[in-house]
Amino acid sequence: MTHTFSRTLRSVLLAGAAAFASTAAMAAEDFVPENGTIGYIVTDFEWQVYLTADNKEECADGLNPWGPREQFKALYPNGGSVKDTHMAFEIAGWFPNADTPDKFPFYEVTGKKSFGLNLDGKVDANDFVSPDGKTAGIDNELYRVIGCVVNLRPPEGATAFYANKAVMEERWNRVLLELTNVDSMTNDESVDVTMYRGLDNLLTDATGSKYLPGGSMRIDTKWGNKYVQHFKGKIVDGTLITEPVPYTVVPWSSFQLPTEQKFHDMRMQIKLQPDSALGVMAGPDAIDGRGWKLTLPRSKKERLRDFKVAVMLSDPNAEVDQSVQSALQELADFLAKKKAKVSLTARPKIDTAELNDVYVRMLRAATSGRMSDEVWRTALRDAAALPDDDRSYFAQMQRGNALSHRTWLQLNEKRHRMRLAWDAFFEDWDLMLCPVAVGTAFPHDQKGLRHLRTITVNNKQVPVVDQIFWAGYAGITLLPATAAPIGLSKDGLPIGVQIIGRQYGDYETIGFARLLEKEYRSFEPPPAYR
Amino acid sequence: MRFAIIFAAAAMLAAPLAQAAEKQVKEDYVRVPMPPGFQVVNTELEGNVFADAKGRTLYKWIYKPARVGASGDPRGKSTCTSEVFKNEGGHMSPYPPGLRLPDADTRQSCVDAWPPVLAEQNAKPVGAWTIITREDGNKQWAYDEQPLYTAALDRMPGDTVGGTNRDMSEGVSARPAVRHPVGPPPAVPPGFDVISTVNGRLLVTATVNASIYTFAKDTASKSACVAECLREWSPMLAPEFAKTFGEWSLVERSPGVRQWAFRGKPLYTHVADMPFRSYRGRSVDGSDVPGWSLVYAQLAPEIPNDLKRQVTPGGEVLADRRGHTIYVYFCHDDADDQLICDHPDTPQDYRIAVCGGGNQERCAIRFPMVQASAGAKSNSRAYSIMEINRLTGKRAQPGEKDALRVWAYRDRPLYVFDGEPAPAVGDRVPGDIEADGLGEHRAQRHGFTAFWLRDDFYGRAN
Repeated sequence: MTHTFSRTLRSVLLAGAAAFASTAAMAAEDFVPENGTIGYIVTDFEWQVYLTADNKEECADGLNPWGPREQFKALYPNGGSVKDTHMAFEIAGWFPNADTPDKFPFYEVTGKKSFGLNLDGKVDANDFVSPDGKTAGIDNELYRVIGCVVNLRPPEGATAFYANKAVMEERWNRVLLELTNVDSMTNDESVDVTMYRGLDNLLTDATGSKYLPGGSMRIDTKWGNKYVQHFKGKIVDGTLITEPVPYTVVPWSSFQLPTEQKFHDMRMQIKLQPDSALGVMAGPDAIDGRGWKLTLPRSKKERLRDFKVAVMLSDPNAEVDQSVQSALQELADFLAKKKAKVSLTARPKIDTAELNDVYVRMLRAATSGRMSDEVWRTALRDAAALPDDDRSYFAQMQRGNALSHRTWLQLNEKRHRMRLAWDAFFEDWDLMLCPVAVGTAFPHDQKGLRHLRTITVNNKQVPVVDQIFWAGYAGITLLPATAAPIGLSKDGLPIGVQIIGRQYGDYETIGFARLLEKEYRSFEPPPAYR
Repeated sequence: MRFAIIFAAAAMLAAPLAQAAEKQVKEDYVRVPMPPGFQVVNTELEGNVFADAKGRTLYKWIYKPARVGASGDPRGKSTCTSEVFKNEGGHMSPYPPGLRLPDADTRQSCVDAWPPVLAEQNAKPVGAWTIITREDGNKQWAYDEQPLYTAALDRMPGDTVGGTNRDMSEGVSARPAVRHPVGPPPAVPPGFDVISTVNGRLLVTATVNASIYTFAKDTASKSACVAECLREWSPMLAPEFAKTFGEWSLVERSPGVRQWAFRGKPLYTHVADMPFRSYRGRSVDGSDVPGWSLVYAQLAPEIPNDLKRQVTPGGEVLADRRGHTIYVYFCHDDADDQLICDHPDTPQDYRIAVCGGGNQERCAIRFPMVQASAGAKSNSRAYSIMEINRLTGKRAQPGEKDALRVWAYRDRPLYVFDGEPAPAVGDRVPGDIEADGLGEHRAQRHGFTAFWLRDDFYGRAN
């Protein structure tokens, strides 16, 4: 299981000119719109970027100098085939892969000021302060990423410029906000806000860039109601504040394509005027905020002696090489010396053979959806022809690939019973320490079918696939696990320990790894990389 | 069993395709003088086009500025030669010239793909048909001074597999220099034009290409749109010297005020039809008003029963039986001759790069071709069923490994975007258009575009 702490938040600056049910020259003091209704139309819409005149404050490292031309030239100075250069360059954009970082330094925002909202209600070290210095805890990770990218810095950045030009010119982007049940534009405890897509072009003066308030705008539902969105809100000192809405889609095309922005937990904060409004629309982005929040308990343990750990050196399902077992035993001895409570025999009440059976079949079932029909039919045939007592990986794999939904449900039931057994175990023990794999890294072998390949463990040839047991031991029962380095083999290859914790105990397994790093052994780069 | 036999018999009795097509009204055209050996052929998608003696559609290759440099024929000169290009021309920055093309070893020359329409040494110009001299000394026919070619991809008379006149490229520097079919002018009075759209040959005004409509309550001799109606609809008035001809007649609205009628129906524009501010497209909003219809000089072939129309937030698209958006893949390479790379007989490397990151299997999973259901038949040349290898994208023999029977439009397979579970991408419900514009330069150079049947926002159904 991997751990991700990054949290992306989006926030955009929104400015609107009143479009219907309002007149231009009203007093700035409180007024009540006719019928309690006022409409705004979005005329400017841009990712907010806090700028200073010389960029020094927000981008101390400078602006990112790598545009596509510069990158291409640096990556492929000698040209080559279209496949290796031009297409590879495009593919990197279509199929971004975080595991293979590109070769260019990236300058993030270094300043502390940003537009946006405090979305999580907290003030953390990563948060920004509003440009006027009045609001702390501003969450805006998107700004951190785009703030020093020339193209995205308004007003002259090409992407920022065209995106906003499209808001003005393209009907796709016509976003209307209608406020109803408004008793006061200064303070009103409850107003209703509805977002629509409009049907008409903006009303402008002859220059095309100045908007005329007071006209009417038709609502566009010709192509469905996807962009109709209701919000509850209040007006505080002339500012509209809406409650977060779990999922909002806003049509926002910048390059002549019908694209949209997706917001999770989106809320608005808009300074209202009778004839204009300026404000922010913000929320976590699509990846993190999908509908539910996860609150992982923080670990209270600060020293190794605070931990009760069980240690498992090997298992009949996947016998572990002596080199790894020795390293784990050494770690166990060290922990005992550090006054941690250590047991070499404590185990959850789980039959590991059953766990392995459940794991392999459910794993292969989970990956079977992408098989071609033909390969799947082969799996069906194989599964039907296998002797019942064949528990080899191949047999289990084909059974998994051919699994009926009923069998899956039965396996799932077993899985959850094991999960409960693990949780009972964690009433007495904090962590389970076990191998990550049966041995150290082994030489590449791409010959033949995967399940027929072997590796050497304790001087015996064993199937390479057996060791996935050690991934399933935690994974099939939904437990977090962190791997930490604990030693080197005779050949100088790294050996790790798998630290398994209770469900949602991610901080505990990471905390333990951090203590090991401090007190036992830390990562060492391979000799050639030192 | 008896029922099965009856059904089978019914299927066999269905009118042969050619006959069904005959019934459709075809567009009329102006009989311009032509040199001997040429003819006018009516096509399903582009109306009337010029063709050679064998019925092969004639194309022009208009000079077009690119992001860097330009390609295509200036008037009076052919730049399509027998040189086999091995490298990209560098018209699409950030890519410099000189990168080796994926099909460099097997590549056609421009004249292989686009055989010039050669003229006899003693041929004489006729009307707008002139003769230019090619670099190799051969004579070539030109129309309106644009050199003429046939397309190697066209297989039978009436084919326009080589190109379309649907207005997608004008003024867009990232678009390739494509080939357009050439034909005689449509038979319309001054002030009118007929343009190619996905739905047929649409009657429009000549100046701003505004859509033209008819009203169901009108008759051949009388307009029912009077008084209040005229606030929203503007009659296409005829000048005093106008005369009826062919399918065109005149309706007297009031003494001395005459309105054009086409095929017995008076014509109007819709006052509230807004010109788009974006660079292409025209409004068809008037057709949403009950009783009012767009006017097609000739309708495009009907959508096969196996496929359907589907509403999306951006308009209507062609969809598969589930209602999932269908995509077309468009591609021209960036060699100086801008050859096609979106047809099964052309290189597939570009497409497999977009859909699978270069991996055929991943491509076939993410962007599967739309399979024809058992027994499905095409009722036109525009929509066809092809046997295609799902991995290579090339033509296949029925029953061959990985061969699929798939729907194609203009001989190009159609796709859906099933995507992948992780990272989660793909069209999941009817109306999703997640892959619209996926490709190089937002699919303007090559990539996937939703098969728009009506696009109120970006005009891509035109």
